[in-house]
Amino acid sequence: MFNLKLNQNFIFVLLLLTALIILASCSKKFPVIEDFSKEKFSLLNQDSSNIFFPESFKGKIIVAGYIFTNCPDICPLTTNNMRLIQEKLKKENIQNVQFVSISFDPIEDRPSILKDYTKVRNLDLSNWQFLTGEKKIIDSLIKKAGIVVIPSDSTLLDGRRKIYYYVHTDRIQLFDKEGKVRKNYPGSKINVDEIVNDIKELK
Amino acid sequence: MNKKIFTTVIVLQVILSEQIISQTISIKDAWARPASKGRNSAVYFTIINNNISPDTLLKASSDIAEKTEIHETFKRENNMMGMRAVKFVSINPKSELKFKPGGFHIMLIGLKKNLAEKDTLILKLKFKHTKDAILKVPVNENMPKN
Repeated sequence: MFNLKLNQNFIFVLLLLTALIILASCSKKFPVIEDFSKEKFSLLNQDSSNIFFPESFKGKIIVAGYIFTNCPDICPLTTNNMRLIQEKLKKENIQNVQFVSISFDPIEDRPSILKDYTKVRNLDLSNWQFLTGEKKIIDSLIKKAGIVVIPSDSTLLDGRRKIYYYVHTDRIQLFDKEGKVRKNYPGSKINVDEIVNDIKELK
Repeated sequence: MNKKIFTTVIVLQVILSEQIISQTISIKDAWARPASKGRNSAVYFTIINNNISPDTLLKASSDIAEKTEIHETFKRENNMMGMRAVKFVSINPKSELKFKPGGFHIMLIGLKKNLAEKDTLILKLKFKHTKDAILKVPVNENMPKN
């Protein structure tokens, strides 16, 4: 009887130690880069529905990309890489992952523009939202995310419409289920297998 | 005999896979990104200069967009990326120059209609020495695999 209780205590301590070791190695591999867990950035998605970022996605791992829709080269690479990550996760039946693409050009990228962007690329929006919002809020969000955006060249079209381009951080970001940024990747050149393995470990 | 047929097939495949515009310049692997009306797309391809002298790409044009420009993506510190217009691009003799994601591209600015996968567009390239190239460019999300 005494031996049985001793064995039970030993197993409990062993399990506790194992859990602590796993937790420690995870936080070492995925240190908290930025804490969004108490943030509720009020944004609009491609359907003009209100989203609180990252509050609305709490309990899910978030893969976030930062884009502007007038960007023809780097941002489509980032978007396409997110599509590849989404497809791989689906293939491996890994659920509870939310994708978000946040525009840092909110004056140009209204919800309808974001909707067109998703339609022409035939994107699967079942777990992917494209977000925009008031410039002040977007500026505050991208600053916290460590995204630098600098206006650069522009093109004046015949209809007097001016298109602006930006020098910007090329990034995809991995958030844990609590809304903490755990890892940054180069958005246009991300290794899809690397982030998928990271997601499996973070889950 | 079999070797002769094989060689002929290979030669034909090469001719069909490249859009030959003169004896000295050929363009291959052209493709463009999808984009919605009013937005911008990018066109990529490889220029092959078979001549012993250099040539220069001076201009690109297409009826699909309000403006067509030669652009270049560049990298800055802290993993920042930007893009700028370039006036021309030189192609060295006996060499290939790739227009590819993250590098040189033809920028289609202010599209007059949606460009979705499997659509095609017509692009005209003007060179300094070689006659104009007219390309039929397929739209793809990814670089086509040959």
